Amino acid sequence: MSRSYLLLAAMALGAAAPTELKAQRSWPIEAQVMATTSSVRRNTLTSSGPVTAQRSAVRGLEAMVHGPSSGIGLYGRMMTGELGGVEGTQLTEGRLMIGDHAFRLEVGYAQRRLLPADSMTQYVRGGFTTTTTMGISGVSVRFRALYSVPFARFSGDAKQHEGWEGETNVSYTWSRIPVFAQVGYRIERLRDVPRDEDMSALVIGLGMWLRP
Amino acid sequence: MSARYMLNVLLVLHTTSLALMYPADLMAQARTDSVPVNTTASAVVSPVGVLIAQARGALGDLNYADAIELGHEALIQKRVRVPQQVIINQLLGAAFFPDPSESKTAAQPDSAIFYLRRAVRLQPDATLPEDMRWRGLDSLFQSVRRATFAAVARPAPDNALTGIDGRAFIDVVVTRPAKMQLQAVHRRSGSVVVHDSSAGSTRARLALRAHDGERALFATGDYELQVIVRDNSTQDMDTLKFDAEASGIPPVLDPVPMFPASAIRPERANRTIARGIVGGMMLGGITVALSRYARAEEPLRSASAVDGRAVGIAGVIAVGAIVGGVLDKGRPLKDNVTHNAAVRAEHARNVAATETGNRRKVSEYKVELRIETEAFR
Repeated sequence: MSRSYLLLAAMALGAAAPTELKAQRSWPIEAQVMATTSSVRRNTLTSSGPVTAQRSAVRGLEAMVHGPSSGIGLYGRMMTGELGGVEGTQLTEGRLMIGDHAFRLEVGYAQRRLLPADSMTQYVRGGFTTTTTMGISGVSVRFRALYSVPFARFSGDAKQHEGWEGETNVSYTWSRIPVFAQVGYRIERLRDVPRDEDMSALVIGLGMWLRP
Repeated sequence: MSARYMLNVLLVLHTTSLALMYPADLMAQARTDSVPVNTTASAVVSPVGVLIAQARGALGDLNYADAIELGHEALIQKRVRVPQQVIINQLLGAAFFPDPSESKTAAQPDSAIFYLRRAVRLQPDATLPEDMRWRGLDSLFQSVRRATFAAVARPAPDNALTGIDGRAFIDVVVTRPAKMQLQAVHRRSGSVVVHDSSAGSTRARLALRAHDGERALFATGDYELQVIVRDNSTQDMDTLKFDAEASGIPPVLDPVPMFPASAIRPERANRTIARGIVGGMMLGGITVALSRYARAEEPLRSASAVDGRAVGIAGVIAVGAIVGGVLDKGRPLKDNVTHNAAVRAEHARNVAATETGNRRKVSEYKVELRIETEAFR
């Protein structure tokens, strides 16, 4: 409930911002900070039993900084909440980005909790992100595809299978202040033999987005 | 030397001085650089002058028949100047309308009105000489003046016009309030240029200019200056014409540079309607496809349900992108805006430099304008 009030307050602030503020102000770097809440559905199949379907809400924080002239940027994400009966950090991730605003290659490291809930897995991720901005309307759409390779594969454990993640979202950035709201869909599949799982989420976010 | 001869000499001198009052008035209203009317002693002893003096003498002697005869004789002389014509017509008017207390000669008011009207038409602001006046004639003269629509214009013979502001003036007097217009007709081409106008007055000072800032109004050549007066109430019209000769070579003005429209770049990018539609549809489809096909492999795939929320989210993404594309006005292109500002500034500098040069040329343009001061209708 408190998060909803926070969201409403931020939107009201954005709508009531004085018109004297310069619209479409440009910044020397691109930076984005966003708080998210995700409605997660996770289906897991383990060797010990039938399919486990879990529903939960997970909070998250995402941040990104990118130098438009160098084309290099960093991205980080952390998600916490209760999932699978365990309260705590569910995902930690960091990526290096190369490219421009519209298209970026990304490679990084991620660590996430699996079932059983006290286990963690680390993996390398690589992929791309495309961002299409609709002129100065403030609307952007984004598509991200990442391929995941568990660290165990590098140590010769051939049972470990690759996974991948796909994400789409649409966002609107206020013209007077760089506050943006986002809604999107994320699906992630990861197989860690003998476990297999897919996880989809409705992601709603609110944050600040500075653009060059 | 008889007393009658002495009287005639005095009348000649008086008549001449009255005639000279006319150009003197002209000189007072002319520009200071105008050359005054050349008056010589020959005018004093002209046959017309002698006839006028004799007629006025006869009028003074109450010999109206002789005054009328001498007046008619003076009128048919060659080279009768306008001031002399005015006096002769006034004299004839007075002779046809004598004071009954001094003469038993019957008055002929119609003839008197005829000549007084001619005098008024020649010089609307003229007054009766003192030696002709009596109360009845004064009344008749004022009545004729009120009833007669007439105008007189008094240009200076020599005028120097410079640029836009160095003007020459023509004073116009009308018997009744009238609209006035001064225009110049080029003899060779027939082109007409209106120089000045005035409305609703009996006196006006109309100006002639050498240049209006865009074109020369006078160049070397012959012109006919026309003063057109139209009675405000009756719409009676009178046109006074003057021959004029101008001397001046108009400056060649540099053309004002055209704005380089082809150098202007678009200051906004194209609107993103197509991008919004295509991007929205594609990303909506990808969202649905992800929810269907990016799931785990068997047996988990069959054992778990598809996330139905993906369809709604896909719709939101598609609609959001399309609305964004529709609402987009086009991204400002800063480089092009800067470029266009530089182009406009450069054009403004070029225009200002050209106009400054042209203004200087115009201001230095001089025209000598010689006007024949005798009007014809």
